[in-house]
Amino acid sequence: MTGILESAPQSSQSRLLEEADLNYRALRSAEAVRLYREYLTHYADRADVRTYLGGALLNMRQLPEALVEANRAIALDNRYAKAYTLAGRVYTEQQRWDLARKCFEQAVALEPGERETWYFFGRSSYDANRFERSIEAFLEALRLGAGQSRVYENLGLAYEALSQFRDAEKAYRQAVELAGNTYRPYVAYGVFLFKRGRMTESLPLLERAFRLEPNAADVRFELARVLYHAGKLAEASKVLEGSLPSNECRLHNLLARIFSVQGRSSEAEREVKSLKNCRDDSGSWKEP
Amino acid sequence: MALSAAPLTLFEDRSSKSGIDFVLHNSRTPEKHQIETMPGGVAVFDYDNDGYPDIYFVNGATQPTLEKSSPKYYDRLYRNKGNWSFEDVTRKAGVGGTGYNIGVAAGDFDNDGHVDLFVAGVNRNMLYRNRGDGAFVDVTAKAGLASDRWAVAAAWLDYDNDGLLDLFVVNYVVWDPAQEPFCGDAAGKNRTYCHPRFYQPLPSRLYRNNGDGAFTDVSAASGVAAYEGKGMGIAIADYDHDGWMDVFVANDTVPNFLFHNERNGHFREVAFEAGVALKDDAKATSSMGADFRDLDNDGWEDLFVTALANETFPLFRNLGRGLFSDNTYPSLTGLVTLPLSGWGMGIFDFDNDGWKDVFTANGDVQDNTELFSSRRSRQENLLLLNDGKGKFRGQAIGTPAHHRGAAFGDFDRDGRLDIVLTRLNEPPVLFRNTMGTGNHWIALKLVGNRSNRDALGARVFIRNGSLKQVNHVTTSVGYACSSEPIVHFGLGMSTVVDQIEIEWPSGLRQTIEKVKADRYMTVHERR
Repeated sequence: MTGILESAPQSSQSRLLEEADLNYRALRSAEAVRLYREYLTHYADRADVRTYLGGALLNMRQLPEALVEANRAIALDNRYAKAYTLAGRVYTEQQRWDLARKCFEQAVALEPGERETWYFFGRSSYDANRFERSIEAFLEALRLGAGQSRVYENLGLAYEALSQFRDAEKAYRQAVELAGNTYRPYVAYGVFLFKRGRMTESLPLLERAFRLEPNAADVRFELARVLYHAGKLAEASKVLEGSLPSNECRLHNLLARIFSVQGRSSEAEREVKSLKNCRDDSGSWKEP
Repeated sequence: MALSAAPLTLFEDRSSKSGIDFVLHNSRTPEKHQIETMPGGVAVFDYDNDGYPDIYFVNGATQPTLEKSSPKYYDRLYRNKGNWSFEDVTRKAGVGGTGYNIGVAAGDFDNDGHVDLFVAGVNRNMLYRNRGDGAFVDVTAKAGLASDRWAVAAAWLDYDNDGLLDLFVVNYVVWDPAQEPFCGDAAGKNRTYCHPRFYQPLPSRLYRNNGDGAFTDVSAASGVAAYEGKGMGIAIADYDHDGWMDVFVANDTVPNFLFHNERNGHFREVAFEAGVALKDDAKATSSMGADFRDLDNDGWEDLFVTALANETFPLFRNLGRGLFSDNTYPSLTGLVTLPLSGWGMGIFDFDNDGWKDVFTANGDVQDNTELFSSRRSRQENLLLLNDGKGKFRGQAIGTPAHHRGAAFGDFDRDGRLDIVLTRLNEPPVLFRNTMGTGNHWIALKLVGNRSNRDALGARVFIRNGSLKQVNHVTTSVGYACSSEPIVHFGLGMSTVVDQIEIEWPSGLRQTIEKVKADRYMTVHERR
């Protein structure tokens, strides 16, 4: 009797946790947060659940709240590596590079075989302009079997930052080979080739990315930019036109340039006006 | 590193035996005051009219008084004795200066044939009138140019085409040493210079030359005062060929300004419309130095801007019709400049092949970069050689240092443009151009009559065979510096220029046919 009574709520809590995890993986972060929090009202001492809750909060850019959960998880279990990884990711977003580095170092010391941690360590090091360390971390992630496209893509970026263009291209090519239906590696390699003055090779990659994800702002911008520089103005404006997100300053900027060259003055003026009013944390005219 | 190692034949370092013993002192402090990152300007100009360009260096001062408490802080004037030998004539010329100075602009504001000097400094500017007897006199107060703002750079231009040089002063930010914020690592151990966002922006100032030794502040009337930026470099050109000089101001981390001359004493700020406020990706750069000249020989003046590491140095191609295209990556200047922080720069044809190249003076803004980044604090300079097909090849020049100013002139009059560079807390570098290309050249000194005497703003068109080029007279080049107002052209293998056409600021056009190459030529504006 007692066992049944006890197992009934446990089973419903397990389902709650499964549902929360499903939402987390599907990037339905708000719902994941709600469900994790509900679960934690029953089992407040679960370091792993607090870490996943923090991850969902991080996805929602609620950085202080995510950090609180990371610290609570560490307080509950100071040998739980994923909690340090979460804290490192939050500190990276906050540009608190030293703290981020310490967290990642702790995480890989506790669990050196955790390739995800090495990947985020690499990302954090890249953002901190520590490109050599970033490369080491990505290579370690790959050595551990993280053959994901995104690791190669980021490895390419790090090599590029150090002007090691041959290695960068090799990494980008690997990323594209493993990309499947993921568009980002095509963008990364396409942009790299554009920067190297190889527009003809760049274009098919960006077109492929556009077919995979026609609504992504980065794809539209990069494809339109190459078309613009290749003199294909009509095609470039077609890629950009339509409902532009008001916070995607680069799209307004490029479209203004294209309209101006095409002599479409009133449309150019409209885009310049949008650009001047544009506010965007990830690529605006705001102070970097 | 993507840069090729520079063959020794490009430039020869003539600093050590030149007689120049100047050291640029930024008076660095543990508090890392923002002003320490910014010196120092250098001017190349012929102060004694002997035909050889001389050099003037501005210098820092003691902190926190901002006074030149010791001779080591004096600004210095060196007379070119020829044969790469210079003598210090600072005391005789009376140009040791006061205050913590950043930039300099040379121009003959009173049209008396003797080039004068404006010095831009921290909360204090200064105008020296060249008396023509080897000495200068401080006329700041009389001229009405005193200021309590932090100015970084200035440019002489005749914005109203009245034959008198006016002055555009670029101000940076509001700075109070007592309010210097802490920037650095979380532990508070390692301090860095703060990001410009910690300081309030300032508008530039425009002063109209009254012609009687005094200037009128027309910043508000001209529209310039309405735009607050964090100005660093300034470049002048008539970019839309309407006969009136326009002004580009390179702003640090906020959108650049392009002031279009409306021909009625007013400027309209059009950087967004023209496409030079931001890069393609809508990011503002930490714009430092700028120059405005035709890089692709299509007759339109292009813009090159230096910036900080991880930003690239933007190259804006002038498409005509008042529009520019961000050609940084298609020109291959993007990836090669990505690791560099550039300050002084200039667009000149260093190898005399008929295509203008770009030189940038580099060094990070931080003096402890390695503590925080894979980037380098002390950096080599960069020569971007123009292949004539819209692309550039990078070449590292010199040894790593905290380079700042760069000014250009032909010190030995051999037709190859030389460079003087300043470095924080080190002596300057004097680079003799030794490129043995066998290419030919021509250089013009223009003397205005109806136009301002320096002929600043005059455009010169040359044609030799199928190659056409244009250049213009300006002393405002790069960052906080002033270069020789000689109009220089590389001619490749041509030994004769078929035609030279000069378009004076007065509107007068003068044509000269069949001119032999490899010579300096003085042309006076027809009366």
